[in-house]
Amino acid sequence: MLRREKKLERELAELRIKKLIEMSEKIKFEDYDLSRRYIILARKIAMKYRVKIPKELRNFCKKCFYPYRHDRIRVRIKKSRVIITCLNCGNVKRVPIRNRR
Amino acid sequence: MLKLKIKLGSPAMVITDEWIGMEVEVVESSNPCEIGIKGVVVDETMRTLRIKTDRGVKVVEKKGRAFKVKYGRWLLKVRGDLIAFRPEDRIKKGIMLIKKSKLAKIDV
Repeated sequence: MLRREKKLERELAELRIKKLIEMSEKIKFEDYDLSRRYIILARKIAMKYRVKIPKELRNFCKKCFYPYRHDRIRVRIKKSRVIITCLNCGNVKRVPIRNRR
Repeated sequence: MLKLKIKLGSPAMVITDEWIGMEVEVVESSNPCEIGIKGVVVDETMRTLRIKTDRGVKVVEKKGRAFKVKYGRWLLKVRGDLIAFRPEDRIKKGIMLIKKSKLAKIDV
């Protein structure tokens, strides 16, 4: 029986996720649908090998997977949280602003 | 023929790496029109690669073709049968293929 090399698989998966999301960020103003496709591919890799997508790369809508683009989202600050509304699907993301002290 | 190593950055790991964004040329194919298609890979599915060339985006099947790939500092010729999996499956199955290594023939 051949054994799986899970550590190496995860390392590779992390690298590929990073590459894909960076590429999607690059082309999001030229081809919005293709950049969404890259995010879906990256998410598939992350789910298969149980790797987290790093927080700084999670720059897309949780529901429709379109990357956040300033003309397709609305950002408001209300009650000490940042509210990001995706205008493609209407999903709302609320990020609390914590007082760091 | 290169020695096959399972290690990050070794040439055999093209099978497992991301193909989107790579420079690719179709070298062997049963369809003579496809030979010489050259460009950057835009999208990938289980059976096909979408290659962006000067004359628009072309869809090429993976099975039965051979691709010339620029990977790091190597110029490799990869048989399409080795990458004919879903893009997310390629990490696991590619490592298995390299381990079996009788199947994995990669020429420079």
